[in-house]
Amino acid sequence: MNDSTPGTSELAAVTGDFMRRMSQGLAALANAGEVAVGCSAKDAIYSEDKVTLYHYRPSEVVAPELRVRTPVLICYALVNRPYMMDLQTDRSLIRGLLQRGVDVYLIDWGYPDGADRYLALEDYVTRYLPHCVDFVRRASGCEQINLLGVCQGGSMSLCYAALYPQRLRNLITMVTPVDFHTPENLLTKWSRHVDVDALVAATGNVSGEALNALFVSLMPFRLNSQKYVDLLHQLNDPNTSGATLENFLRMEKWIFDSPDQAGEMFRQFLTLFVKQNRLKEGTLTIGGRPVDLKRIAVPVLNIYATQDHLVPPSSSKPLGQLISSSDYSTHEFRGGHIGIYVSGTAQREIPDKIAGWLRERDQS
Amino acid sequence: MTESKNDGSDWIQAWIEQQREQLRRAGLPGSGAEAGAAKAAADTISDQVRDIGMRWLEAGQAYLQGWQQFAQRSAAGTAAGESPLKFGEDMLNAWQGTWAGAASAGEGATRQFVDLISRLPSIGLLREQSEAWRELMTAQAEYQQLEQELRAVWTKVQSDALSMLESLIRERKQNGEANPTPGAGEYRELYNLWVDCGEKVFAQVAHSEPYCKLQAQLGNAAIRLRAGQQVILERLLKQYDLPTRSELNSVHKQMRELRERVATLEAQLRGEELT
Repeated sequence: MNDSTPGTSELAAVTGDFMRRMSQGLAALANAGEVAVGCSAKDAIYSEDKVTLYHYRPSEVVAPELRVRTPVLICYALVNRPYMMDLQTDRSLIRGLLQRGVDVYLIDWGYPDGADRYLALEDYVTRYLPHCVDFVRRASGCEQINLLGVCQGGSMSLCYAALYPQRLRNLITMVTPVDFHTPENLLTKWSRHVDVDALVAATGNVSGEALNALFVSLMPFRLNSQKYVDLLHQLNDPNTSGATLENFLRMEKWIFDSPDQAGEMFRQFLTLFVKQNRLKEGTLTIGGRPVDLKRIAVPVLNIYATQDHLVPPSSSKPLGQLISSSDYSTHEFRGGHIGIYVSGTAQREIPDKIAGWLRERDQS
Repeated sequence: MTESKNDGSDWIQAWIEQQREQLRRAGLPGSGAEAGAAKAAADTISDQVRDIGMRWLEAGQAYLQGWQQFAQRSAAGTAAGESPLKFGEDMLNAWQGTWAGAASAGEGATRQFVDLISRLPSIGLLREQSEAWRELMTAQAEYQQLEQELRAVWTKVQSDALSMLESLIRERKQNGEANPTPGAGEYRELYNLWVDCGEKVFAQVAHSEPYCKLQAQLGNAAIRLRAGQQVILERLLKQYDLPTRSELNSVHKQMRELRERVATLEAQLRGEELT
């Protein structure tokens, strides 16, 4: 293509204009400061190794008679950090739950390092998680508590519920993979031929950066390019508020603030859950004990997102057929894996649903 | 698109051609650039093999001399105040330099030579070391080849996305939709359309079995390469009695086992059954 090719001079002009606007957006970006994450007051009440259990301070504006008596313990995924649940004042599932009278506890798994490479599924499901549940039971005076598992934390919560059914009153799963072999599950397809044993032998822990690269490559055009172009354009718009940039930066911080995965746990999760689909097939054992989802008879609320590209709805939906609970409900959120926590519609819809569902089961 | 003349949308076609040109430069499979390069490589392959053979011979001699120096420095290096790791760095740099030189002489010829070397048995005093280096070299060659293959797939995705974009634009024109006039807003619209096309094409490719296999093969090759590097580095660290990751792993494993035994004993003392 040379200068005499039709359209070349127009293209040069339009490209120049586009790039100028991008540069102006970059200048605005350069003035951005640091962003803070997490907004609700909380106290660390228990810790073990790198795991910390937090208790969120109850909202003082909720009348005692409106409070849900049984506390909720949130079991977050090992991938990414749990402050996604409480990102900022106007984007916080936890804040929404507190405002509706729910007593909230949360497990922060911390950042595993080289000394944790042999932490296994057994450690997470039969040691850390039970210890946190028992601590909440003691602290709240409730014999049974509510457990809310998020994504991979939902899969672990299902294992826990199957192994220790007597300690739970209700179980909520959010964007939780159960059947890893549905056709939409791209991560499973990609990992099928990966030699995970060799991977963990060579790398020890699996770096969060490597996982981020994997997640971003699921939608490479959008996640590597378009979202940044969109931001720069927005910044160039005089109607864009400063909050837009802060919100974007906060999300960026969360997305790329990824802990390394303890090697053995990663190996087991990828092999047993993702490759062999044992949770769904009923052939999973942890510490020599079978994980039979049919042992889950407590009320279960399964929440999934219609546009979830990481955990497609087809992966979450089969749960109802795998448990024996006679009180099983689902809630379909119109949005994606992240939008279910941070989108505008989620701020009312999700806490309303969870708090209402828990309250109905708190009286009996 | 090619038939459009002065109707205000030529700049879009120009943009598409510009992108295609970039992809051609990146070596899209089947492009003229690649075919020409392949012919040139075939014409000179025998020279390259000879050249690489000489380079390999030189590298081998340097390698053996290096180990001789290594033995001497092991005795005298610390006393002279030299960092023991410095020599290891030199060795790695020398190896990487040798590889880069060989690679620049021609990928195909290099691969042939690597195939030959990798089939020779390791023998002699330096058998273990040379075997480790040979495995590393094989791993690197394998990784580079797979990386090229995956890169070609990505380039094809981008090329197909451009074709999809082109037919979308043509379709819009045929439907009588207004011809875009140049402007930043229109450019962005074009960009967004290109992103949509890219994601659609990629989604099809990404779900296909050959792509899943190729991506995993590249990942596995990267793991083997890393493992090979670790073997070399650990050998070097052991020479200086420095701790290695394997030793740390061993310690962590023992700690974990001890911890489990302590927990079992504590539970027994409390008269509990482990749950």
